[in-house]
Amino acid sequence: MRKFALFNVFLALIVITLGALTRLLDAGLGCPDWPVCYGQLIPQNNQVAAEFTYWQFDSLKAWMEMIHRYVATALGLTIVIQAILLWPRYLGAVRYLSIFLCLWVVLQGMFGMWTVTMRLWPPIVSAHLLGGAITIGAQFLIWRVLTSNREPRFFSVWSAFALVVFLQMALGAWTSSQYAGLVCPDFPTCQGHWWVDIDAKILSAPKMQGDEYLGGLLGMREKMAIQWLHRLGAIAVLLMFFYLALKQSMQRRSLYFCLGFLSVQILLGILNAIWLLPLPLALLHNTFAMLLWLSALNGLTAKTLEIEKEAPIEELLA
Amino acid sequence: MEKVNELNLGIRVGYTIRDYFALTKFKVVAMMLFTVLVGYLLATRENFNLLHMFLTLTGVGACAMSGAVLNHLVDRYRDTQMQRTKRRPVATGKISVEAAFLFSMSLLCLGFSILFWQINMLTAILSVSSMFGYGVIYSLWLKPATPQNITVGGLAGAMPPLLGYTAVTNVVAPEALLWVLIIFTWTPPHFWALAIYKREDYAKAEVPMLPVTHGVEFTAFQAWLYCLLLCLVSILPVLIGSQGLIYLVIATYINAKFTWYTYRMWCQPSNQNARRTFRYSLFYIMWLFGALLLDHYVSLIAF
Repeated sequence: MRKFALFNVFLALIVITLGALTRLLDAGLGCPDWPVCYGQLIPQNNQVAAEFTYWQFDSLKAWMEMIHRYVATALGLTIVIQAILLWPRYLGAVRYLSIFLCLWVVLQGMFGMWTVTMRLWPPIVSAHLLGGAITIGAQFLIWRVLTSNREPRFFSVWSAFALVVFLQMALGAWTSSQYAGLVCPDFPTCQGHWWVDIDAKILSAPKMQGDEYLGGLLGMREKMAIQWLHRLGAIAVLLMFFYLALKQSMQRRSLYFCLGFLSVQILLGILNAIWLLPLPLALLHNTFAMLLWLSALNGLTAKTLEIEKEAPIEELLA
Repeated sequence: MEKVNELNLGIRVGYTIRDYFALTKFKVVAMMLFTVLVGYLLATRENFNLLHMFLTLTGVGACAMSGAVLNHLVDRYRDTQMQRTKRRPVATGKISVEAAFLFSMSLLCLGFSILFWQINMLTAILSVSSMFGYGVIYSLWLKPATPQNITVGGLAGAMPPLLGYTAVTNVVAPEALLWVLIIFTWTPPHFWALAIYKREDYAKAEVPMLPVTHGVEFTAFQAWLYCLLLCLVSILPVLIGSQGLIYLVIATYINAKFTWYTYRMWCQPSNQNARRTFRYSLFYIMWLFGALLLDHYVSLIAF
């Protein structure tokens, strides 16, 4: 069961990486219909594909999209099998998590569908990415609980850190889905500005209009503000990490994992900004975001020594 | 011989100062001053007068300390019955009743005159009335009378952020009243957690706290209900538009965590769970007001 869960974690990581690759190759609309590609299960440029007039058939993009769909379907199947196998064997958090995962993976499939049918509308794209993060997070927690035999502690400093990382991933997803990754080719300034004014409107969902959102609709200033917010979010994650290290200084191993992934992730982010998103680095930025997220969740099952000390209590009303 | 006497005198003076300091419940007052500071800073924008701020903190602090001394004075017989409080200076007789009363009144005069002459009349009157509500109405009258004592008495402890706000603006504004409401709603789950694991003390001193009169499980259930109410109240500042997203995120997280703690206390009202809930409630209020401050300054700088 443990090996199966670990296999699922890796499969989920592969699906997420494939999804990021699909996005980075602009292949999200490689197949403009769902669930089949140009009306067929195997993408081919034949008579059926020629009836789609608005979109040109592109073999690489179509295959990229279809591979993502097929591997994701396989993941969905293994998750359901896992839940069936886990149910009679385990109680507690693992059981709830596996059932939750079954439902969530269906929702994630729906988000995948809407990504295509709503033509890459940014909120849906972001939700699809974050849904993937939640899928792999739940799967990873299942694996960790199975291997450590400890119930996860859902409220600790680690979960607060995980929340901050998750919000930063949401900002990153927003940066990607609004195509704001290329607008600041310098670091730490953004087009020479040391400060970009942030309008609260940039976080609201754009109007649904036009045929597709490839390339984004916002102007330069808004895109700059979005990327700027993502950079500020990185500072928030860093501060939160220091707070975490201060509070949970006993849990060295989990902290070192976090620190390693965090530093690589920040370095990748900077290089992505100044080298204008080279494909391998952009892909790694996504993968390391997931690894950082998993290493934050790893802390939920870390061993804790709870010291209960009886301090003299002063209370106003006592 | 004289040297030995001098040493003794020095030690005695040192102990006396420490006893007087223990009378002021300084840890609690420091926490109240933090909420005063938050209220003060949220009322200002980029600029504020440091001296003015310092005087506000001193004045409100002196009034609160005076209330704490009065509370020690009123509670001196009950304190001797309870394990937790039997070492208090007035209860053990280390400080006489007259001296403690004089100390309280001089602190009150100091606080009131600072607030009245240097800040404004509204803040002075509100401070003194909240001190009166705590030191006299709560300690003397409510505490031995009803199990709902801390629900009503919590209002006195909830005033500080409003005092910080009125010190700057000289008006009672709705958002400041919301902060008061937050602490007011937070007090029952906070205090009942303490009362649950100190219930034997309270029973011995014959104070009708809720766990003594109505049982532990009912108290824990009430604490959980108040906590649910607190979840709603603490996001009201976002709903009226005075705070933004950062406050919402932090408040939602700590609300969920606090609800989880009180829920666990309700499921299994053991002393350990109650102690954990009490300890987290202190973190809760610190983080909530920290979030108010953070949100205020981030939105000032960024947007």
